[in-house]
Order: sequence, then structure tokens, then C-alpha cells
Amino acid sequence: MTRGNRGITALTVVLMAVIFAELLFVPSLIQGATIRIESELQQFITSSITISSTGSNVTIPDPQGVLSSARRDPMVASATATMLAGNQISHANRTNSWPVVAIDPASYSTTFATPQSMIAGSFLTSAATDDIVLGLGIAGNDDTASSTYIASLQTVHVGDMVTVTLLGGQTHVFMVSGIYATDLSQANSRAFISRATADKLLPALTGKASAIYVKTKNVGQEQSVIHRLERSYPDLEYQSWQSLSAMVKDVTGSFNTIKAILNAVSLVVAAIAVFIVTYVDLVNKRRTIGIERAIGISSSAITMAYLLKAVVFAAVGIALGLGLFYGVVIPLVRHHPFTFPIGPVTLSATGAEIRRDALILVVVAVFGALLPTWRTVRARLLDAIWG
Amino acid sequence: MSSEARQCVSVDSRQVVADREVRAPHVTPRLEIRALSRTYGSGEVAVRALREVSFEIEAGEMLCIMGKSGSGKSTLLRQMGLLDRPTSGTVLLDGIDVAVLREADRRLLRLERLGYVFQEFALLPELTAEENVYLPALMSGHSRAECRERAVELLDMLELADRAKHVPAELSGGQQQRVAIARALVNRPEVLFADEPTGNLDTASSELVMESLARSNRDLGVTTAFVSHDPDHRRFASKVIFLRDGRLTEADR
Repeated sequence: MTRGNRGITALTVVLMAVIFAELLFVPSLIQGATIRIESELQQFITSSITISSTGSNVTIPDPQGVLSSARRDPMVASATATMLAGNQISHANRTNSWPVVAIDPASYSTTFATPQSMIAGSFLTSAATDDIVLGLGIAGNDDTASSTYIASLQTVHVGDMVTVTLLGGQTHVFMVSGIYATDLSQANSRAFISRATADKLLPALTGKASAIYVKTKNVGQEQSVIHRLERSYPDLEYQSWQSLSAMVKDVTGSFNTIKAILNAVSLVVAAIAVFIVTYVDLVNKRRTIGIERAIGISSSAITMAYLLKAVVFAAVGIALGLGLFYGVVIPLVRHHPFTFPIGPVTLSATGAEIRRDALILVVVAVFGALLPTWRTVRARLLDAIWG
Repeated sequence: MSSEARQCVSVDSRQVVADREVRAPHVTPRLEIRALSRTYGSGEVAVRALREVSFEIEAGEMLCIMGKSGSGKSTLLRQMGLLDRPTSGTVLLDGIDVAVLREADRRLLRLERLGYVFQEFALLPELTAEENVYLPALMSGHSRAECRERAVELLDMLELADRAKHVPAELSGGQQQRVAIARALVNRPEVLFADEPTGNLDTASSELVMESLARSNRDLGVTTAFVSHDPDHRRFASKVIFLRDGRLTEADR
């Protein structure tokens, strides 16, 4: 109905754009961190599916049968079996408890990314040797900057000898052939020996497995694969990575609380901004509005005009905010990612979140404009025109 | 009261608006003011701006309300134009007491049956002259094309056709006031009120504005009531009333 001050309009739109970009920023950072954690979890600890025994069984009955079934599934990329072989490692005068896992290096390499995370030496081969690969959380590697250094063996390097206490109580000396490190500290506290070595040292464990890990071709296929495996092997426990991600839930739970608080603050700021801009505009146009009412224009038409203006502020601000977010913020963070304890984190926003935040911002803008407009159009007519 | 007039006695605004078509002409005065009083404030600071003013305006008349500053002229016009409510008394428009209608109904009357011209022009500064004129018509539900056509017609009648696309800041005072008159006429009102329409204008512009009002009264048959403190404006009126200290002291034809 009326045009407005261009400068104020532009500033209001810019404010809405910044608020919208900020509304997207924290959730997308949290989402990015969550995605990062989940990715690390699958790559180094749980894979897509973890299969273990139930009840009193310590090991999985017929692990080869399970592996074969899994590998035949069209949705499965790879599968590997592991067997817990030892639980204590010593070096010099330091000793601590860590799982020593016997693996088939070939299938383990296709199911997990651990072999690609070596920082010293090399990963295992399938041959029966006295080699052992340690995570940085066990070896230490004199890396005093590492968060796990204090609890580790601290001074173990590639080529050093460590003593492993195997299941059953006997000990064996291994040579450290490689040290790996991932961004997930939980994953850095494992040791690996080859299956052949374990079978030689612990013949009773030959052919047994304490866990089988299955990697699906795509995320989201886990339940389908589990259903099919359950039909053939119903007495095993099947867990997807989602159900195992308790740590992720703890972290994201806290992040989501922070996100909710920050979003609430941003929306209050947006509402107040629109309120102030509308209020100032209405004060300046009080007489004009009085004249409009005097010549017969309805209060509802006047109110709708101001609410529409608020919607336009929000809509244009949202469009600009999206441009700012996708055109500036995301590329910037991609080139200079945030460093979290879990590693570099980039931003990740979903369409559903963007639509939700856009709708909320529009509603908030409308409410911000509604109160001052409602009060102005209810003012006594003569007071509005002649003060 | 005739059966047709009895039909008009309704507080429903749509009925009031529709009565324009069913009303029997000249059965009742177009506008009837009965014992109208308006007091501002209360107690010791109460100001009695109008004191039981009574008079009538026939259809087609042009009434001039005169008096010194503070005599209640503008207050009276605002009661008649439904911009304010009286403290007591009645304002009858074609027999209907419009003073008691609720605000939504009064707004509708202001939009569709009355026109008001302010001393300060009161044009919307961001709209062109043409847009200012047709805005009330647009609010009445007419199409933009119809509104524009009507605005052009009125601006042409008031010799402002070449100023239609100009905003108020680009118009002289006299031109702005004539645009305001055109706006007041756009919905074909039955009564037009003008509060000191020449108060801010020079002599030449004043003459143009008064002639415009007279033309609308004469050519369009719009009953008109205007306030003026200029004795020279009496010649435009078919009836003159004088106010003093809120009382009607004299009526003259």
C-alpha cells in the first residue's frame, strides 16, 4: 500500500539474512560433527553391522557360514571376522589392559579403514608372524601431544618389542610392525595380530570368531541385511552402527541443547528487530495511517499491509541468507574446516532443516510486526491524525 | 416516518449503504444534526467544544460553517464526517443515527457514502496523484481499471490530468488540495466534508479549490459542508451557519 524508506528496508533485510544464516550455521556444524563421528565410528569400530554371540556363548557358532552368507548378500560390500586373542600389553615397566584382536588382514582391510591410517610402519600380512600393530593410544610413540599419551605405553615405536598376555594366561613377545592413529580416540586403543599367528599360539581358537563385521554398500541398508542374516542365523545378536552409537547420542544430545538455546536467542533477536523496525515505521506513519482510516480504509487492510511487509522482509532475508550460507560460509569452512577432537568438521545442512527454519523465521517476523501494528490501528482516529 | 424511511432505520452497515438505492428523495433532510454536544476531558478541565447544536442540510445544499478560531467549527465537521463521536445528540444521515454505529460500520460509511477533505491535504506521500485518488475506490472492491478510469475522470474535471503521475511533493498546495477533493469524490459520496480546505493556500489557489468544491456540488449533486473563516467564501454556499463558543448563533441562506 505504501512504499518505505529504502535504507531501513535494506538494513532490515540484511539483518534477517544474517539471522537466517546464523540459524543454519550451528545446526549444520552439529550435523557436520555428527556425520564425522558416525563416519569414524563405522570406519574404525563398528562397520555397518556388528554380529556377536548371545547367551552363554563367547564365540559365534559357524562363523564361516555367517561370513559366507553375508558376503553373498547383494547389499554387502565386505565382511570380516575377528577373535579376541589377548587383553594385556606390556613394554618396559608399563602395563595396561587393551584388547588384542586376531584378524584376517585382507578382509579387515576391505571392511575397515584402519590399515589406511598408519602413521608408522605397515599393517599386518596374512602370514603367521610375531608382528603386532598398535593403535597410538597403546603405543604412545613419544607423541606427548596426544590426548591418550598418559594412559599409553608412551615410548613404543615401530620395531620395539612388546609382551602380550594372551587368553589363557600365557604371554608372547611381539614386534611392533606398525602404529595407526585415527581421529576417534576410542579407535586408537586396539592391537591387531594376524589370524594365522593367533591360530598358531592359541590352537583352541582356530576357526572361531568373537565378532563378525559387515560393511554394506550404502548407508540405510543395514536393517535389510540384518533381516536376511537373521533368517539363517537367528541366534546371533545383530547391531547396526546406529544402535551402537551411544557416544554419538551423548555428544549430539548436548549439541542439540546448545543449538536449541542459540536458535531461540536468534529468533527472539529477529522478532525484536522486526518489532522495532515496524514500530519506528508506524510512529513515522501514524498520521498517514490515521488518514487512511479516516478515508475508510479498514484496519485489517492496514494491518495486512504491514504483516505482508514483514513476510517480505523475512522472505528476502531468507533468500539472501541462503546465498550467504551456501555461497560464502560453506566454501569458507570447506577450505578452513573447524578442528574438533574427532578431526576436521565441515558444515552439513538438510533441506528439511532449511525449510523449517525459514518457516519459523517468517512466523516470528509476522508476530514481531503484529503487535505494534495492532496497537497503532486501534488508536483513536483523531489522535492518530492530529496527535 | 415513511415506510421507505422506516426501512432505513437499521444499524447494519450494509443496509445503510444499500439504502442509497431505496431511499425516497427529499423525504428527510440529507443530514440532520440534533442537539449535538461534544465535551473533551472531564471535571475542571472539561472543554465543551459543542453545545447542543441543531440544524439540517438538504440534499444538494452547500453549507458553510463559519466562526472564530475555537468556536467548534472543525469539531462539528468531524462529528458530521464520523471522525469522532459526540458526547450527546444525534447525527442523522438520511434518517439513520450514524453516531451510534459501531466503528466498522462508520468506516464503511466514510469509505462509500461520505468524503472528507482535510486542511493539510492529507495525501499519502509515496503514492502518485492518480493512486491517491483511486485508493478509496480500490478499497471498495472496484477493479484497478475501473478505479484508474474514475481517477482520470475526476482529475480531468479538476484540471489536473497532466499531474496524475506526480507524487504530492511535486505538486503545489492548490494542486494537492484538488487531488484531495478528487479522492473524496472517487466513490461518488452523497456528502462531502471539507475542513478549512483553503487554510494553507494563497488567494489564487484558494479560489481554484473553492471553485472545484462548488463544481462538484453543482455538477455532481454532492451535498457539501465546509468550514471556513474567510467571509469571501460565503458566496460559494447556499446556506451559512455561525458558531460561537460551541453554540449555533445564526443561520443564513
